[in-house]
Amino acid sequence: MAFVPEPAGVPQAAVTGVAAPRWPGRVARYATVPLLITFALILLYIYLGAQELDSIEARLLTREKITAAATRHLWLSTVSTFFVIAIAVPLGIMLTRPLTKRLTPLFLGLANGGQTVPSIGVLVLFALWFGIGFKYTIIALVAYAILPVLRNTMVGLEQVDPFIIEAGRGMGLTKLGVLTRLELPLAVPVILAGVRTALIINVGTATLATFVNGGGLGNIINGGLTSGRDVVTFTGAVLTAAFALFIDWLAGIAEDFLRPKGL
Amino acid sequence: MTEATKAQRAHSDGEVMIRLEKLEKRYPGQKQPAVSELTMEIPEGEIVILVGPSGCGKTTTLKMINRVIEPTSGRILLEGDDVTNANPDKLRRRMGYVIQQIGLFPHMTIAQNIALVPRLLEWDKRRIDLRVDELLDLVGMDPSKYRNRYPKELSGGQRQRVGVARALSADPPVMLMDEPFGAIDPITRDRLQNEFLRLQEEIKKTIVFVTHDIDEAIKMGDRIAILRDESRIAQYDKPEHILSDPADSFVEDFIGRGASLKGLNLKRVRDVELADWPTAPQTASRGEVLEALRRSDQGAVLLLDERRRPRRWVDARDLDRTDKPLLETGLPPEAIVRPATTLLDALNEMLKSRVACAIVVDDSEAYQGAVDIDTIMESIQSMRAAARDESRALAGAEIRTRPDPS
Repeated sequence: MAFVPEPAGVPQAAVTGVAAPRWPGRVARYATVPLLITFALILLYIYLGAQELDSIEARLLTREKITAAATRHLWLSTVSTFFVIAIAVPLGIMLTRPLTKRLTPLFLGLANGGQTVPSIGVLVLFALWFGIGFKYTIIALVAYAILPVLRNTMVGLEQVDPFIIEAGRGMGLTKLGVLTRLELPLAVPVILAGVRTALIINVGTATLATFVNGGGLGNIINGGLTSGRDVVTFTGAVLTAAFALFIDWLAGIAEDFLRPKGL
Repeated sequence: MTEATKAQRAHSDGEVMIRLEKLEKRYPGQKQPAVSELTMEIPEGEIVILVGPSGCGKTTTLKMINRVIEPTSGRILLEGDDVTNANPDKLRRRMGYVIQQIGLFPHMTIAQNIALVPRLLEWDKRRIDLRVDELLDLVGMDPSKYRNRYPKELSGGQRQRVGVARALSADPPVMLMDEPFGAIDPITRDRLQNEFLRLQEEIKKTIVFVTHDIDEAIKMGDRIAILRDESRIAQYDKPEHILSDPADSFVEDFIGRGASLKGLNLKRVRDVELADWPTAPQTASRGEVLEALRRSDQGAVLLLDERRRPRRWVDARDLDRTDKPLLETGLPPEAIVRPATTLLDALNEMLKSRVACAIVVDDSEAYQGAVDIDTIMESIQSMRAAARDESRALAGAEIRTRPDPS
């Protein structure tokens, strides 16, 4: 099984890598989501402008607070995704090599475990274990999102046509040459689909980082909830949704451009 | 001649390019070896076909030559060097490799596919570019049109051509081909086979070619090794000898019925004396045409235009009809073949034609002669006689060269 993201607003990218749409279609596709996000944010701005904010609300919704939360959220999700890639792709390569293949059940079991425990559980467990703050939040996010990239790296490498590998070996490519010139480029679309899934998981899970003092847009939502200010909660929720859509939109574009031509 | 000598007739016309010595492959957990102590020599510049029933070990044998499959025991010599323990990656760069599935790299352009081995060998860029264009030309594909395309944009036949070009990229002395035309429709396959034979006349590579199709083996091979289980050689010889003088009942069964017919694949129209059918210029009068018909013992006259191109077959009955001009009676010329056509194809054309012969024309469409049933019979008989004589001569030579028993 491979993970395929099913993001809202963007057509689903298939595992095998469907040809990217032609330019006019692409532009329309790429423009839709940012337009929607901008529209939603403008509406939110107008709505907030029409509200009479009390002192607590005003304190929770300062420009600085929102910017800081959004920046932190961006960092949490991108840094954790970076580490997910740095760990899961080499691990996936290793687990598809003949000598180390037998370790597959162990690592898949671990990664599965990481994903099966509810995300808040992973965060809290890691906080109790290591401590709280940015660094430990990242560790928890990585543990939680590693499975899709690991799984997709393995599936991506395993679905490469064996005759392509045979042809490469038969022409005199070394094993490393076959991996870097043939297997990995051909697995890129599937790996990217996994990375996109991991990224979206991380954007979502990072919302919970507030409970372990990790910051992020969850701070705003949580601030609204604990102070009983619905306006704040609502603003935090809209911002989080807009942020998730935006990241997924970027990931979709990256997927289209990073996919090797000719596939 | 003993069966053993008959199975592997001496054939050292050229240098030996590849020598396999007691090559064996055993898979763990299997009683029978996949390939058992195979010893054979592959002469330089020839197409040697390994042919045999499925599971006989022919593909395993081929893949042991470039050590995609490592032999369990035995030796492989390439141009006299023992390469059994050489670096396999470097060894493979000296051998082109074409497989049935072709295995073009879908994420690389045609040029990048072809350039891969030269790049591994660190040729400079200019030389690689020139080589790519040269090879595309060689396999009949316009470089400016195809260089930057991706494999998915090509037809099956074009992909196969690129596969061959890619195998030739670093100009290896040896090509290994595993059923290269196996997955292609019969019409395209026939064309690719002919193109490949023409190409081989130019490049003169040493080619080891695996197929399960005896007809392909006869058509493509300078020599054929018919293999039975465990890649044991049942017979290793020139195709005409295998057809006329099969070593045993296994070979006979494998060739199947119609060995004489298959032999017709080995001869081309230009190799035989053409039959003489009466002709007349299309401007000739009925009297002149009738005269030409009477002088021959055939049933029809072929009318030719001023450039000797065939226009119409007419027979005596057509000549009696005066209601229409001569060129509108009779039959249109069918079954037109060229000097490079095999006799089997010519026979096939002839059988389809309503006049019992195939017309031979040259490149400018001018009439050269005809192939009829007598032509075919004669050539079958002469092939048989030649093969018999050669067998006798070789048997005699063996007796003469045998050392004195004293």
